[in-house]
Amino acid sequence: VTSFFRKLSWLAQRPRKEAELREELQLHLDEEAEERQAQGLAPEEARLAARRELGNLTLLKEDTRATWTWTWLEQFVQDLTYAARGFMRDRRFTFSALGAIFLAVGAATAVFSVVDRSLFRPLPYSQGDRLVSVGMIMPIFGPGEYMFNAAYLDWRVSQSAVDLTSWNGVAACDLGGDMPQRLNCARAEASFLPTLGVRPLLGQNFSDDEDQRGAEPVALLSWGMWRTNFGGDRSILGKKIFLDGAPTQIIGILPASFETPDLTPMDLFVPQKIPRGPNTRNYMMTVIGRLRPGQTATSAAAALEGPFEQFRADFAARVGARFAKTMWLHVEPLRDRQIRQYRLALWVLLGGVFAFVLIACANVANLLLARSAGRRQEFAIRAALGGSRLRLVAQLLTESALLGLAGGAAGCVLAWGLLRACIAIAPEGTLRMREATLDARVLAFATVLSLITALVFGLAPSLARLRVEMLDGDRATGHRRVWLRQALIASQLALSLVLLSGAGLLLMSLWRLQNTPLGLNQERVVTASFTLPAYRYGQDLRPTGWSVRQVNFFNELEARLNATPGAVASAITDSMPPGTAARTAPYASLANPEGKITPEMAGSVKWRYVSPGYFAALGIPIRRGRDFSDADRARGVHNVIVNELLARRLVEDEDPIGKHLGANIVIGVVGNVRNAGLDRPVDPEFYQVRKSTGDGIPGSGDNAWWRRATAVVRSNLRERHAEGSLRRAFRQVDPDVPIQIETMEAQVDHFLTKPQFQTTLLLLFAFTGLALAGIGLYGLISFLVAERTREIGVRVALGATPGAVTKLVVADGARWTAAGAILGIAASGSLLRLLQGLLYEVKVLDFRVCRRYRYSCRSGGLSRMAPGLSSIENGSYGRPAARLILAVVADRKG
Amino acid sequence: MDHKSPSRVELLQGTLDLLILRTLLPGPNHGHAIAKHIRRTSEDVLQVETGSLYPALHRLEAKGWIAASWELSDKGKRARYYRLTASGRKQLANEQSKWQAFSRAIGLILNPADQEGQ
Repeated sequence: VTSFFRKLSWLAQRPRKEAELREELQLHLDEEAEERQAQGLAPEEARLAARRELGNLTLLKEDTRATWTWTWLEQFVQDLTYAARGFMRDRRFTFSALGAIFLAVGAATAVFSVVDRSLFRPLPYSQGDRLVSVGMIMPIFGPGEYMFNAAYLDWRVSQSAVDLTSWNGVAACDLGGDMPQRLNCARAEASFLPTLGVRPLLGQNFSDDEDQRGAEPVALLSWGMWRTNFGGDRSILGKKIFLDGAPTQIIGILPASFETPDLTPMDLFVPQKIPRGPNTRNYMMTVIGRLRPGQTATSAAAALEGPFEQFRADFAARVGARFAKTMWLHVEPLRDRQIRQYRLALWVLLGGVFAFVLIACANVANLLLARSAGRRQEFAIRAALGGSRLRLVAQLLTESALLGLAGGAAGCVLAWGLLRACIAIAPEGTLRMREATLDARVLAFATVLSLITALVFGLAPSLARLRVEMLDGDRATGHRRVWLRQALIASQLALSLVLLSGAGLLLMSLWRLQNTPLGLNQERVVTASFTLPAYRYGQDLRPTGWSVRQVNFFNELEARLNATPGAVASAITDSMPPGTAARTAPYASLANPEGKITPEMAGSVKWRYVSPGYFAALGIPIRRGRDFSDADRARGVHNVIVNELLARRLVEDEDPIGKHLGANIVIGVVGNVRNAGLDRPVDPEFYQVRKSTGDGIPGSGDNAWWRRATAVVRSNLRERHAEGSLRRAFRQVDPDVPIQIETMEAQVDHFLTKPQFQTTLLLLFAFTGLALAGIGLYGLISFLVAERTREIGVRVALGATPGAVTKLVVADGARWTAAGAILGIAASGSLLRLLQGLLYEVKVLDFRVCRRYRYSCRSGGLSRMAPGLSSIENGSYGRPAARLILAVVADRKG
Repeated sequence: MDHKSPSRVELLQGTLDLLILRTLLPGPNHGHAIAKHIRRTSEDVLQVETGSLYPALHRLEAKGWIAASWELSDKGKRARYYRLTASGRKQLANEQSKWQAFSRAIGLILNPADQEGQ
């Protein structure tokens, strides 16, 4: 250990040690000479003899120096400074190579930091890979899983493959007190946190007793809520807050890493309080299970099959065999369930960035190849002077690693910027996007990646060269081993083409999406969505769920909206197209109220609860019959308006007016409006009129449904003024209701951000990749021209015209460009089928995309060759070549 | 090499360290004197190459067995004097006993009769 520190301190005193050694050896020589002189030699002869005796002075010094510090360290520092000097001298090379690594590492690190969270990183639960989502799927209700209380209670005890727990999603709740706030509450069972393996950061989870109806309300705070609302104060534990009007004790704080199984953000975690007793069999929840040791998702599904069949039989008896027949059991690992709808987009992103990294790596390889070709002589001299092969390889290794790490470090900065930008433009709720950071794991990835870029792609070709050429130094010309470089260029082009056609497909799909007719006129429409706070409007509830206060609020708001300055039309609705959850009803129950169900009656129908004026406000055309009027709101009147799709389904080509829809009568038909997002076909839909009294309000299983609504105003004012007057209308009714104002156009735009985001990223990769490939091609052709200087000179001397020489160079480049293009188109055809799931109304082998890009690559390839040609003429890269040609031409003239 | 007398022998690998340490046992000395001492004491049989003496001295110093300081020699010149450290002394004892065991073993093999006679 002491020897280590001694060497370390000597490292710092290098010049002093050097001087001391010189003096020490000088003394030795003097002494020796003196001694020889004493033996009778002449002074001069004695000095020479002493010097002879000493032997190889340089070797002696070197051997001694080697004992002072660690030799490898010395050599490393030497290699490093030499590498740095070389890079500084060769600026064009250094910038190009660093630039490529910078872009590759930056893009890949940013993408990895996003994708890693969802695809690779363990879930933030203990042994998250043992968690499964358990449920039943009934297509008639949609693609999601359902779980009924009856089944859950039974399955929990009737099998031993998986430990089940349940939760009920995240829903709005209201924080009362000094600063009323709308919050998100996750409702779960007492066994939920233990099953997931999550321990509260502070305090504790609620007990089974606290998870019963009638128990004192308790809640756990999310970490974010604890920090922002309570300043991270520990003494908050045990205090009470007003939650949905009830004093609720805070009993714990969740860890910062906690996330709900469906990734919905939440502020508070409260007991679900599953209802017990009669008539609670159909209570619905979401079920998560932890596999017991030795079980897999498949074996758990098999174990649940028995209880499921039992439930199905029971369900068939209670509800109907036809319904029961269509449902099946679904057990899926939790992670797969979470990323189900994102998986494809994530892999496409990862694939895109991978292709981009390969393009950049090919560039680095090409640059290093060119550089090592230029350094053949240098290495031959070093080898001749006794530089061992190990030492030469170490030099190359150091250079590549230095290049990689410098580019990688810069790339991390780029990644940080890209990540910020991504988070800024990413659609709200993109899978775990906001949590993505450059943490140790991601930085480790970046380091490994930059080393791989530089070492594998840079060193491998250099080593191959080193082996052949180390021993014969001065072959100045005639090296035609450029096939590797040409192959690299061709593959770069191919990869760029794949990226380009992928981006082209996404772009076309986005264009289609943006130009899809919505079926409504979104211009000059302002909306305000709100949920009446439960603590103000939840009192004096009627058994069906509404309250007199609520009804009064809506009536007053309606009147105010109609009176807003600039309002052309206004309405209140419970949901808005094109996306936000409309209510649905099984088609079967509407088409055939007698309960006779046939297979043709599958599917569901959307419906909205709107006030008269809804169609005018949104500009939805009335095709047949009439709009709602106040007469339709009278007691006992059940009039509805259907969209064209539902009308056709109901009566084919007949007149639907006056026909029954369940217990309702159809009074009108309106145009179809996109109601399943922008990228899915329109669903059948009907509209029910909002009642102005408590009577006849439809029932709902969602107890916040009554309080949730959106006000829609079509205004002839400018956006800003229209928003202001809408805000004023609310303030006049109740200033304490929080509202979210948005134009209809902005609402529609939300549905485009995700495809826009994907397209932007892929386009970015594609164009940067193409630019890199172009730069690579330019470099290659310049290199070829420089390499063939003599050959070209001889050709010109023998009478070749500049045109013929140009043809020679172009033909070479064109061959490989063509090879790359063909390869790229072939690869696009097969790889891009994978994209189909992300596309809207675009078929992957869309001839237009292929033709367009085949054309662009051909013209692009040629134009990219142009700089290589012009370098012959005006001599930027191929200066020697140009000079030679000019000299030869002058010769012939003279 | 050419002017080496045939009676001189090459130093065995690793013995130079031992010789240096032993030479420094009586007191500090500088490089040239150490070489001279080894040559004289071995009756000119052991010739220390200067090319290996100085690297060896510096190596021993790095290991901490000897320490160096600049002092005036008896001739009044500034010289780098090496002296044995405590750990060097221990090392010397170690090496010495190892060497003695080794040379005795060699002797046993080379002169069996001699040993039997004793």
